[in-house]
Amino acid sequence: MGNPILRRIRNNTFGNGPVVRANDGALLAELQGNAAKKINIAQYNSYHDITAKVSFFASDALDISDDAQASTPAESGIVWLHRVPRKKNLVRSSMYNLLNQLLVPQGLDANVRLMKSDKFPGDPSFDVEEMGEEIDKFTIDTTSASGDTTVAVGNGSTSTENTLCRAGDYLFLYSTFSIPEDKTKVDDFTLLIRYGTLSLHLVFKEEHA
Amino acid sequence: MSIPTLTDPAASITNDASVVEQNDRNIAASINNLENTTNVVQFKGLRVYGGTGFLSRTPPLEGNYPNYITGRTVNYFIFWNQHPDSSDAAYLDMSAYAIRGNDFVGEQPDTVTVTLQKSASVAGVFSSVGSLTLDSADAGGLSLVKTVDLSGTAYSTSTPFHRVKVEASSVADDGSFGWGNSPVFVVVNVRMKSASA
Repeated sequence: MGNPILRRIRNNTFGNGPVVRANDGALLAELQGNAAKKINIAQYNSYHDITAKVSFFASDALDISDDAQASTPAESGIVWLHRVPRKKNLVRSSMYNLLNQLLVPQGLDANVRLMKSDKFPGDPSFDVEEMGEEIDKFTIDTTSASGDTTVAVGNGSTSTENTLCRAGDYLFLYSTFSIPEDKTKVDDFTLLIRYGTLSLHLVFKEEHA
Repeated sequence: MSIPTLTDPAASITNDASVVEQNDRNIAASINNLENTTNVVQFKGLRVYGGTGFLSRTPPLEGNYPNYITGRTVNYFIFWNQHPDSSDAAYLDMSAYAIRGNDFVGEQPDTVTVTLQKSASVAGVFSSVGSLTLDSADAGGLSLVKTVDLSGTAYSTSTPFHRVKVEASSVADDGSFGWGNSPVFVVVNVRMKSASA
């Protein structure tokens, strides 16, 4: 709203009723329908959320049947993608394992990364740094236990962000299931369940439209 | 906005008439910075968290791993962390329904219980905010949409992590077949309220 034009009323003068009323009318006229975001309203942003249920690691390529195959490159891929329709800030991200049991072999390096890029990540490579900006990472720890690792419900990752996303940017989940170079024996890998289910939750902040 | 200081000009011409003018100027200054909680009556927007999924027996796996083939009786559908500045967030309600994969001849669990839970940490202990139970004995069966009012539950920023747990009544995991042969699809919506930022 604009500044209402208020007429001066001096002290020690007779209180002029019409002037007082005109001043109040000027206030009311500016108030009605003229309150503007940024100028008159302190909180002019809204939050909105994106929730996704994502499957990952769904590949048969890791059915390792002999030692030679054990040294082949691992699988990776884009398992979820969102193109940002207008400028907004990503302020929270959450990833959460939804399965009761997610069994992955010891020794495998398993990650799901939340990433941002201004280019379409249609040709994923294993060089994550070339794919864009890493925002958050959900890591399945497969190094601490002997044998298969059970990742129980409750395993997840949350982060607090202030990542500016411009119109046209891509936000995506990039899953990698890679084999360390020192693991070359079939016995290193006993693949039981080859997939996981992840709940992804993103919170964005943007101006009122 | 701050609350403007208004002075009583009193009902006598011996008083300062410019007090009336100053009152209006104080009002004009104050309304140039309207705030959610102080000046706006309905300042909260609705947020909806939706989840879909199905309950079924875990599909058979290649190889001999019978220990891992169990009846799927519990599943988690939704997980989220609270918004920043959510000290004035509020629960509203949660609704759900389920439908059999084969709605005419398929088996189905007796009940499906949907529970909204909260926790202080991601891997912490989750406690119930509220729950509802879909009952196959109801008219409409599991597909009867049910809603539980959560508005009476106070929101706490000390438990910002939320998830929805969906639990069906038991199914045999000893090789015999119950409803686990016929997947049951479940839809859950949780609604909350929070202010602009």
